[in-house]
Amino acid sequence: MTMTQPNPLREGTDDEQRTPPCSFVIFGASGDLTKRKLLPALYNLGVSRALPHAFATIGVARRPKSDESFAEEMREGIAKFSRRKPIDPAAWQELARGIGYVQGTFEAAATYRDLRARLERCDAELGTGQSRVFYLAVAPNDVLPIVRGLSEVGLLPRPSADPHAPFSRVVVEKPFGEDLSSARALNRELYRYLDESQLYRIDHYLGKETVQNMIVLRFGNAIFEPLWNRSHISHVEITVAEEIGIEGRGKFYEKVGITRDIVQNHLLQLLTIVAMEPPAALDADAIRDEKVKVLRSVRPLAGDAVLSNVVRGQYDRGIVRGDTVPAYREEADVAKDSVTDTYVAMRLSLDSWRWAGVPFFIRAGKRLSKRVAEVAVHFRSPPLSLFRGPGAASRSPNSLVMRVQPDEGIALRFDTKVPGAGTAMREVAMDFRYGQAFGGSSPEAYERLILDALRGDATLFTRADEVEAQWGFIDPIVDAWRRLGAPVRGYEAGSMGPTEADALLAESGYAWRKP
Amino acid sequence: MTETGKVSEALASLERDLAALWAPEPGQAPKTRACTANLVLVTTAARRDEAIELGSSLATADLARTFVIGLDPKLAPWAVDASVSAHCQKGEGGELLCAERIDLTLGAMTFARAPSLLSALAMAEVPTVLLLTAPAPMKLVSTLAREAARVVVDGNAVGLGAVAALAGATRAHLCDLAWVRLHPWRNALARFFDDPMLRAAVTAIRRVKIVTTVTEGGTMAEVVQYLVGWLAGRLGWRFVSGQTAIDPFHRAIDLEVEWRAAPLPPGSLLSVELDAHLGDTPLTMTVEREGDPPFLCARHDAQERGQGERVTPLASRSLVGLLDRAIADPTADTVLRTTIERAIGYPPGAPPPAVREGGAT
Repeated sequence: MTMTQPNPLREGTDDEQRTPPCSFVIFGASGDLTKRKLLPALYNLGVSRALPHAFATIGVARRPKSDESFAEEMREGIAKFSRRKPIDPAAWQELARGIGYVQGTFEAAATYRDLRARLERCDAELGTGQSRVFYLAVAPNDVLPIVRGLSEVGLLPRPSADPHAPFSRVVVEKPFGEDLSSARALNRELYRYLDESQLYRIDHYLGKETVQNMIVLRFGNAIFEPLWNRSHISHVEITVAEEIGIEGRGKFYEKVGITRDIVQNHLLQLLTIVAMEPPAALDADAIRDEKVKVLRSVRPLAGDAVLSNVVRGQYDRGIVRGDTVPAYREEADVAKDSVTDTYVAMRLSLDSWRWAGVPFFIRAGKRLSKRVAEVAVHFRSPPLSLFRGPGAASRSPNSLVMRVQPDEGIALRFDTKVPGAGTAMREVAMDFRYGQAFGGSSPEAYERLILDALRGDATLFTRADEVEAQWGFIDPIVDAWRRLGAPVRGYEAGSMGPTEADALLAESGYAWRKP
Repeated sequence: MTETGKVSEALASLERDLAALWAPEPGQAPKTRACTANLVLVTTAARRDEAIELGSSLATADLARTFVIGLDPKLAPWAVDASVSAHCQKGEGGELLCAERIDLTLGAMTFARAPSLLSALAMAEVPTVLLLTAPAPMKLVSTLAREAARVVVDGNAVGLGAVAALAGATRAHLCDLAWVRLHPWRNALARFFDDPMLRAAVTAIRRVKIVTTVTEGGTMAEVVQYLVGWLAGRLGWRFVSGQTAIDPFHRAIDLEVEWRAAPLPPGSLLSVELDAHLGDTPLTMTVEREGDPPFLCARHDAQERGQGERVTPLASRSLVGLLDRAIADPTADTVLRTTIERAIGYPPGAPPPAVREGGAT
């Protein structure tokens, strides 16, 4: 037998074995993301038996802490934020035996030396095999110093061609740059220490079940794809609406605005998945190649085109979920004459054979009436309206709505005959809900994404050229707003945005869907 | 009334009851039916309550239409005792999600009609999963298994003979929890050969020694049959006797089984030892259960070519947890059926393994 032949005792083994032994290092271990998302995700992966048998979780942060107190904090975070409760003692015990903590600042060389020593101990004692995933749950300006520090102590060796060799991967949270030039500069700097294949840029929207299911829906079924084009689809709406405001992040929001905070990543990622061509294979690069093609096909908006195709807004006072909430300009750390966007709606055109002439309407907003993220694909009206009734000739009854959150699922809307004499019609929906169809609670996005990072599957992470194409589309819009002094439309908190956004659709004879 | 009439009448009554469950009540919020599977638990009259409790736990997690089906020799031979109930819980949006439980107790002569009843009452468009976690009448189990897309059995409870009988009765996806519980051991053994340096030794195994706790009546522990059957199936071994197998190159492999006293249930696995060669170098690989809470310690010694040790926790999983996972997993275990075939043939010439039916008809 040659060494390249497969291990015959491996056939029939499940998920547990496909995740190689490794250490998972969290920079920013004291932060909110770690407590609310990362630790519960790791615990739930443990409950699902998806973690490798040899696994260590090492926290790195500035605050002094012992291994035990970090483990206790982890346990508290899991108890509070895990989707599965109460804590399963066996699963916790398995996770807890690999928990450790390294205290230090991200600038100090000693932090990385200590970390290296700690990881070598894990390799020797737990069998983590010199493989590491570094999760950077830190502010954007800490990313580069951390990667440099890891590299300087030899913790980021370049990847080997041998698939069994130890690996080192770095997971980076958004925002990835502030604009195209800073994103390019960051990529350039990171490439001094890492290969692209070692970088996992996380956009947690891609870990959501419905988002992944869009790929399955489109390319795993034969019935949708023949309709998925300009011949049958009239327009597409993508909505990411939030009830919450800026949650005390006035300083951050004043610099960023919703277009760069949400549209640049989540919304454009949703757009790429809805509009992409079938990939040649279900692997990371084939899918990301197709997504990049979509981004390149989006007709750029610059100068006056921004004024006619984009509406930016900012919330005024209003009532959300029964509570009176302040206007954006009344929030802490926000300028009284701020022009920061808390709402944006755009009409996009894709210059491709599949989508020519099909407008994509996208919107994102804070302090809207409802928390919802969804994609609605609207189909064309029947060519001849046989069933004359109020509105029958003008409206299309058919739409496919993919709900990303909350209540993840898919609804297909169509007309049906109301029972009784005559041919009165009513719109109904065939509704598929994940919660009902599969029972229990779906895995959190972070569970899926962390598992993929551990397994080296980058399909649901954004590649450098995607990030740059996204910024390349957003930058001219932000620039036009600044140069042309585009108006900031006010909208009442608790509404679905400024009335001017309705005009974007009304010009084509459409209206925003009421989620 | 004919004997057949009694069964079809019971079925019609059940269908009316099911329809009534979902009829909207004036002034009340509609109930949302949620169903991911038809779960069929086969039981005996004596174990009916246990089966109902297990079904309720599973249905809570999986929102399934649950059938609890048993034979009761005390019922008239053609009688069917049937009832329907709904179990509701609040969904994520606050709506009431409900699933039904159908209890069917059959007289001794009606077992052959059980598949027809199940087929009429099962929800369409979702898989039917047969669960056998305690001894139950195999004639009923086998007939119902033909209706199932998946069969989940606990070989530790019903015996390897019953698992083999089920494997023969249906081509459905089969899962044995006894096999699942062996997974950490299989994984630990397979991991030795993940190492490219040791990979070649997988075809050069010359001795297998398995140690278990003492079994009742000194019979062969099912874990031994499963492990030996797995190695034989994967590596192409043929059993010559209880002590010897032959590999595809006609080389002999010594098989040793030893019992030891230990504070664990009878037939529990304590260690597995493999002797092999890496060229001229002897290689010893051992997986042992140690510690409390327990863990598996896997060690290999290839003399001057290196040694290694690694530890894996041996977490205990509840029956509901194991079933929950088995029900949700739509993939077929590609190795289990060939392992069962080999396992029941070990040791060669021995009487067929026991089928535990719980003393029911």
